Amino acid sequence: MGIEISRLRRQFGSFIALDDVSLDIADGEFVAVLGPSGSGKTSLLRILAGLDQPDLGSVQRDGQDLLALDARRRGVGLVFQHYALFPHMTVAQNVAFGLRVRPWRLRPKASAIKASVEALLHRVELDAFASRYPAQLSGGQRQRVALARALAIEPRLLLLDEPFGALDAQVRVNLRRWLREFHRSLGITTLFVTHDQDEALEMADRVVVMNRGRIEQIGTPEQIYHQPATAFVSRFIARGQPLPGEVAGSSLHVLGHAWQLDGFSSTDIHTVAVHVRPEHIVPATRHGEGLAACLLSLRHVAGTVRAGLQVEGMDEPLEAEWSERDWSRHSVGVGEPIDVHFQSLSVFGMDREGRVRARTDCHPPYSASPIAIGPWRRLGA
Amino acid sequence: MSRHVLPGFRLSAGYTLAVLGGCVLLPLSALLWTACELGPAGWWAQVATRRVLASLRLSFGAALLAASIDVILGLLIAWVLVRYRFAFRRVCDALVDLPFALPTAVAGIALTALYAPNGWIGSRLQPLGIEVAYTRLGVLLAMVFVGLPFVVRTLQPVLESLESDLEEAAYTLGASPLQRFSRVLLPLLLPTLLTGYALALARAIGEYGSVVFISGNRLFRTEIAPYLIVQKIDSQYDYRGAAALGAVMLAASLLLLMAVAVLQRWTHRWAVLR
Repeated sequence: MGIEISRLRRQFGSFIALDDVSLDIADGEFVAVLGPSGSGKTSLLRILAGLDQPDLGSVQRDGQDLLALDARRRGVGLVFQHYALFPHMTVAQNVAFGLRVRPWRLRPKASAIKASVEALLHRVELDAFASRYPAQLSGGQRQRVALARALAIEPRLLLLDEPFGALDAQVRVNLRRWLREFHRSLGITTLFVTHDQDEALEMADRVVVMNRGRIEQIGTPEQIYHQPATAFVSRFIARGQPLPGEVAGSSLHVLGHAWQLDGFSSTDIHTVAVHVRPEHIVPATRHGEGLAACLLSLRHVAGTVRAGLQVEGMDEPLEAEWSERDWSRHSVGVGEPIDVHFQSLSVFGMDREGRVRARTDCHPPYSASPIAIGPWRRLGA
Repeated sequence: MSRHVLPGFRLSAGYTLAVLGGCVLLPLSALLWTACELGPAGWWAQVATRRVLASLRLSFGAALLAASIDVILGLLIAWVLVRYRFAFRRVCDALVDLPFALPTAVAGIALTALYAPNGWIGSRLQPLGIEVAYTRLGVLLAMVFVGLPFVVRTLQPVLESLESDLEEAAYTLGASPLQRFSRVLLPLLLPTLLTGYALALARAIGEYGSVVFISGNRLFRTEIAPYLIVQKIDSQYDYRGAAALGAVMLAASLLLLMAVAVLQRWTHRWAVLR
């Protein structure tokens, strides 16, 4: 059962925020909606929360029409990107708000409200802060108050809008883990919206990738990363970089090289996109092998080396990523020539409407002996 | 490189104190000095007359009421101007400032002409038994008129900066429209409303020009305290008596404004605390 979102459409003037969006969410699932800004992910969230209505489409929860319910009665907890805590209320008053505004008949007794606020604050580890005002809290603490406030109404669906967007990197990483654990212990159906790939892939059971109001792919983090369904997902999630390439018959032509391409039918294909990931561009083991390039820049980031490469025949530089250990075997300086191989290429074939009709991975054969020492290694250096 | 925009603390503070001293403190001390020349008994004789007490009661009573009305009307006007987009919105926005710009005597004469028994509005109200001109209601009307822009103009920027997030959060938590207003918006606006209230109150207490025309200055009935002060100087050259009355008004206004300031601080405590 769970939530069935089907064929949602939302238009603001000439801007299409949601275009034929369908998605099923199982009970207790933790789903991330991932996309760049303007991809429609916040529109989806607002419609689910009842703050906006779609032009077309339906949302059902256990067979019940969710859209017909007023936001007040939906039982949806929404955590805003900037928390939206009531600044004139203490932490405890903020958390109690959803219970205190209930109609008189449904309102718990003051003592019951007090008890559940205490329990919630304990859960989010803010027991000691009950009588503080939001202005006296740090970003991470405010985030947890907002979460406790949303949970106080015992929602059946929890929506989080860019939950870590306004936090600094360290707090963000800690809070991510904490929230993942929190969800596991709570088991409440949760949908969260983010533009941060790491966040979505690390936290969610399933990831929904959106672009320009459309769903590009739905899948587990592993599927999304290893088998991107569209060129957009490949670019956005796996940092796939476009290469100039063509498909002729059953061979792929890239930068003067031709490789055998299996499992790719080019019927109905109008355009072809060829992508390579940074980690799939590797230094060639023998000079004169692979593609000639020039090393433009080299940056060392936390155990990896990020290199900017100008490959011959291409206008745009490519980014490659190697482990520090692998790179230590080479000694090419910035500005010097280097030969590179593509270990794996993703090929997408699109029809005239831009829909992906065929996709496959191509592994250009390359004669590498795994223990080869680069020809440029200066012994004794 | 100086960290401050203005040159030097001493220069700017000295300038501030000199201007405040020259423009505010000096005239006020002169007022108190002149009032003191009467001595306690003379002062009491000046103030504790039936006519003076009636005028003080009217001045402060009407001003308190007028400022309260201004707060309600001003909130409504500011709300509409900020939250809705409609034809002639900018014209309406400019109209709010009119009571600021208009010479008060002009406003008073215009109000009198409109609300006099033979005036455009007054002639229509009279059959209903409502008299505005030359009554206390007229005094109130003039005070509401001059105080309104203060409330609207203080509220507008705050309303504009208020995030819709908060209302939406309250909405998803199950609050009804009335609860969203009374539990979220109103408490957030209260400090600003009180600031507007204090400004409108101060203006209404001191208002002279627009009130004296519409009030008709009837003995014991519609005489306001500023009118009595002018009377004392104009017809009797009684500077000390005028100063005595002025000192009473000064003290009462100061107390009222301080009370409002304390209340304002209390309603804003969540932002002041750290």
